[in-house]
Amino acid sequence: MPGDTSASAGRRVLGAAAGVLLGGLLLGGCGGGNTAGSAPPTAPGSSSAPVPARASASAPAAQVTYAQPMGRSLPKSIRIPKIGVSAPVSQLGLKADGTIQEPPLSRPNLAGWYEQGPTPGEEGPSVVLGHVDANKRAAVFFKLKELKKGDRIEVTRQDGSVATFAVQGMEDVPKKSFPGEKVYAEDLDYAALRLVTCGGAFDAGTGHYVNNTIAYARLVDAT
Amino acid sequence: MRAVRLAATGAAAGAATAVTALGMAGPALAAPEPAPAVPAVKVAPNPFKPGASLTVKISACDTAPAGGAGQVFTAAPKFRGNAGELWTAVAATKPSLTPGHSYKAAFTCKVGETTHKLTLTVNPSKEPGVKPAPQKFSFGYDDVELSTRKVIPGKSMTFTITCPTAVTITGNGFTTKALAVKTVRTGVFKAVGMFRSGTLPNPTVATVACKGHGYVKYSTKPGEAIKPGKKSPQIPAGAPNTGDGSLSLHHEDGGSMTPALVGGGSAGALAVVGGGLVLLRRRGAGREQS
Repeated sequence: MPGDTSASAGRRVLGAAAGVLLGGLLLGGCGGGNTAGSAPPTAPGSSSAPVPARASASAPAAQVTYAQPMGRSLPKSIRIPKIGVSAPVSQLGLKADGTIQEPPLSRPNLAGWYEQGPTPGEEGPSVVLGHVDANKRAAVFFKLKELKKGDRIEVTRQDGSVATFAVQGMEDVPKKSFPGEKVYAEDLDYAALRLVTCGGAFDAGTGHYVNNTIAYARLVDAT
Repeated sequence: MRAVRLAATGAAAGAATAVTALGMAGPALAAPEPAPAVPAVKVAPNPFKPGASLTVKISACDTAPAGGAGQVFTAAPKFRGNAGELWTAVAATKPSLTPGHSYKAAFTCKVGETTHKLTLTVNPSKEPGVKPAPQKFSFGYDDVELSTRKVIPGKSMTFTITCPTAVTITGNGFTTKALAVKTVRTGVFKAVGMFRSGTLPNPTVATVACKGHGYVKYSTKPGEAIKPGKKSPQIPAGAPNTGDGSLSLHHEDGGSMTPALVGGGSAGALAVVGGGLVLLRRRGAGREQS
């Protein structure tokens, strides 16, 4: 029954292809699960002295030296070459209910810095938010989850200086367990940057995504 | 085995779809006539605040549901809809309803020649759907009281902290790295730190953290009074909502959404799988004919 064998083999191949495709789809989505390289970040060394770190393919240099914290200067713009981000940065405060403001949906390519925290480059965790999508457009942090360890983030500050950060790790967390203390108020003795956007599935009932994608980065250059 | 099973499942699904399509195109097969639908009533919101308007939905009636205001409404709800489908009415409830009690309203409608009676039971509450506002607490230096500002080797310092969660105190000049914290009463904690004898670090620092609300730091140099150092920013409540879902595609499995780009990929992939099944089917059919 060669015909049967052939058909059977064909079905097997097709089934395998379907499995791969469907599996890929299930794993896809806007951060529905952890993406490659999105393992929980490992805490960088707490020493403010330069610490060697392994760089990624985006930063081919074998060793990375962390930079000393900079003085205070408000952020002006952010640039992330790996994912094509080049955007102005606004300032975000708190709403009356204690939640953080977000950049307006009418400006998808606008990031926002949490003004109660350190400025990018200052000692401590500086936080910048950006939408993943807005008004049927891919927004400034649409590809944030594609960042990997070692990728560079440049923040130009109002004093003209540029704070360059290297991604330390990625995290995709349910909003219900958003690590606010770690993101906004971790007690650090070095300059860090946290980029936050939405991820996971979109819940039509609440009108919000169910997860947040967080990039943890550390200052590697100050010019 | 897994691949074979997946292919078989896909083929079965395709066959089911085809049968459905054929059934729609041609005359119905000799199947038993389905039993007539039984009307059902739903109301939202429930519970609700007395005086609020409710949306009443009644399904499967051939005639518009009728009924009085009953114990619930200020006037008889007027239903709009189509025979055999969904009938909907919006009606105001009596402000005099007492929270904690149940109230009923009855409706009747016909399905065919049969009259059905439906009873609606509702439960008013004081503040339906209103969650208490999250407690706004911002941890700061005002929430920490120090027994002294002097840091003296071999001497102690008492911390009294107001914090709604839990407190940790660490420092580089104490005899232990973390201090033992005792609960004085709900939301108030106390700890005593004993400074080491001899020379203390320069600077000597102490960090008081209130779990979930950040920390404050104190710092001092030899011979100086301890003073506030670095303080964590106020931690925003909840998680940021950074996206409007406009690049998402609705899925019918519970309303979850996935991005349109992935949805497009899904459609393409399913088309590929479906196309493959059709090809296999045609190939098989060709063999049977030859």
